[in-house]
Amino acid sequence: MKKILDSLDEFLSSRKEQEQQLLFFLPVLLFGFLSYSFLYSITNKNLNNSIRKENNLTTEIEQIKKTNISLKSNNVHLKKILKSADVKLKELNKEKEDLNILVNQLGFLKFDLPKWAGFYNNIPKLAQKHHLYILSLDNEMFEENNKELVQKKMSIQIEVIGNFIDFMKFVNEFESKKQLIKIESIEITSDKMVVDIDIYGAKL
Amino acid sequence: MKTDKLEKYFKKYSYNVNKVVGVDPFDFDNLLLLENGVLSEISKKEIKQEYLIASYIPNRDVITYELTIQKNLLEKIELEDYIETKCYEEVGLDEAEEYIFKHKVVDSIADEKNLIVEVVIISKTNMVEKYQSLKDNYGYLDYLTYPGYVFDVLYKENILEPQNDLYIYFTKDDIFITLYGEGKFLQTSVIPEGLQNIYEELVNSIKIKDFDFNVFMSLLVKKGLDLNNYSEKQHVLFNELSELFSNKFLIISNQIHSIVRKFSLTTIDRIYMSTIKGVIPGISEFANMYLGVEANDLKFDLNYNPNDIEIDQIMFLSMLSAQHAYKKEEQVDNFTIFQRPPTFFYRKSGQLISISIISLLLSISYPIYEVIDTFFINNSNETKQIELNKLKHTHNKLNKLNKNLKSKLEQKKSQKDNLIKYIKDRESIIDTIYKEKKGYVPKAVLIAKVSEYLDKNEVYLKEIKYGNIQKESKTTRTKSKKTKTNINSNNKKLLLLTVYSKSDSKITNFINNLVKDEHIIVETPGYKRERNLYTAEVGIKVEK
Repeated sequence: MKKILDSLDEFLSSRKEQEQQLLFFLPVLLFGFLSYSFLYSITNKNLNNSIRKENNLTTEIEQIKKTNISLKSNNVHLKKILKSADVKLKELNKEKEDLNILVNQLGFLKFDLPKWAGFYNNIPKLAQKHHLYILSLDNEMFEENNKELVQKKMSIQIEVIGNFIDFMKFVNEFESKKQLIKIESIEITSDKMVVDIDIYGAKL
Repeated sequence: MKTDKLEKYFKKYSYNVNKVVGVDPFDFDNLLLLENGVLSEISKKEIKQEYLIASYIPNRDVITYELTIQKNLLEKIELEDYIETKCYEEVGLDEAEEYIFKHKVVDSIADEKNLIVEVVIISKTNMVEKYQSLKDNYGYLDYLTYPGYVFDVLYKENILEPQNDLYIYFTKDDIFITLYGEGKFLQTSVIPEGLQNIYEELVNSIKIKDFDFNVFMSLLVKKGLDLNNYSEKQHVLFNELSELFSNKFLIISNQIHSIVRKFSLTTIDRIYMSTIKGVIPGISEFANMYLGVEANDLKFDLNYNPNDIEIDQIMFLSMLSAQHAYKKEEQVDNFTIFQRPPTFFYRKSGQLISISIISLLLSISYPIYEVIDTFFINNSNETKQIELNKLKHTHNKLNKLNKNLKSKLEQKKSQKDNLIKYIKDRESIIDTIYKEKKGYVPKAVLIAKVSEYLDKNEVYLKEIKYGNIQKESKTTRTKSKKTKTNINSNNKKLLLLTVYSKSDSKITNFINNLVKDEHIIVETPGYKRERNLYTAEVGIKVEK
């Protein structure tokens, strides 16, 4: 080291003052240039990348925090709604159950082919009960798919002869039943008495 | 303490003036340390950078020259150039060689018009040859002086009062006499017959077994020239030694007379005398005898040498001179060419290296700052990334929960809608059934009621028709059979009674009864009279 310093001293002393100043300025220029050209460009790029990443992360964190707060709040709200929905559903289910009970009680309104067959087959007996003589007895089944209530309909046409009052009693027998029975048409003449009865099978 | 350390790094030179090492010019391994006013022996290995290294040039390596110059010429010439030129001309110096010239102007000679310049010349080549090894060992030689100049320090350091003093010093090679007038150097005179010469003359006269130069010197400093120190058998030796020294003192005396005459001194106040190995006992009497003045011991180390180390007084005084010169920054008498370089920051190489390092540090400082900043930001980013990952995890959980809740809610909503629809359907069914049941007018009952009014008003029934009756049509039977009848189609239905009576008023009463009493809506086109019977078609709107 001593030798290097001595040699350097000797070298510098052998130079003119201006040359010495130039030599002294040279490292400033050299290191400044090298640093700016090679180091600074890399470190600055890295720093900027890091800062950009930091900003992105910060923004992302802020956004996700906000979203999370919103989600939390939304979830709390949804839970409340769900709770009230549960209560409402419970109420509705109760209502449904009550209605079902009621509807079940109206089960006799349903389409029931054997029962309807029995009903139809019982007409001659009923006519006989009211001293009526059946001239003709006919029926026809209809599908009522478009209707809200009616699933099936059976139209029965009864042509009888007998007493007017008996006929009215006979008709009244049908109208007094709890099923959905309607008199579609009546025709009473001196020759005969005709009644068209519709029985409806409800969708329940 | 810290300040001291800082001072050490930033002061111009690394030496400490209170610590001086003296190097024996005849043996570079013979070292003395003067530290804080105390002398001690020191080895080469113990030499520290802070020690000032001092030595002196033996007389044999010095050329002295006395130059007489007219006083009035002094103002007209460049003295140093003049001296050099004169020396090269008159002393016969080799012009191819470099020399170091030091001089003292002495203005106290008898000749008032002139003055003397005492020049000391040293060959640079010789100096390099002689002291290169010393320089290689210690790196530098801070102070190298001429023996004649060393006594100057005695006055400058107030060890002696300025008077006319004569210093006589016996070395191995020579005897040198130095004269100081009132504390100022006047002249040095060298007699080239030193102790070696005396020894040789002695051994030529007397044969003594194993009597080498060192034994001679021991004899000299122990017994010296004092008869009392010699046994009777040794008187021959004493006599011989006395004779030899008498001869030398005669020469010294002549030299002194010559000097005294030259400098027109009235008296010599003090004489100091010693040898390179110490003071010779009894020499004072010799001085008194030959010089007329009692000689003092040339020994100035008493206050510095508590251990009484054998010291070459010239070396000691050169150490004191070095200390004084560096204290007062007076380097006039310093012959060294191996000067200590300044400390790192004060030498050009150090400054260049410092500038280079500072430039390097400054130039990389901002990139380093950026690297550090990047490091910390990256660390922070890692923490943020972890936080973000946690937040994302939470977000996913919340999102999943949210979707789950929404899905559940949709399910519930769907369930609710289905239930509501179901309930509405059920309610609608029940409502419809209720309405149908409640709103249905039993036809048998209606016809029975109508029959009652017929009987009451003596109106007779010819024909009854019920159904979707068109006024023109006789019956709706066929139509009703083939049409999918709406359960609510009763609104359009009509109960059409074909009645007859003997009186039209009875039919009217019958209709009025139906309308007023039963609030039945009746439509009738009027009567027909056929064979005293009134016939009417009465249409009753059955459903409301």
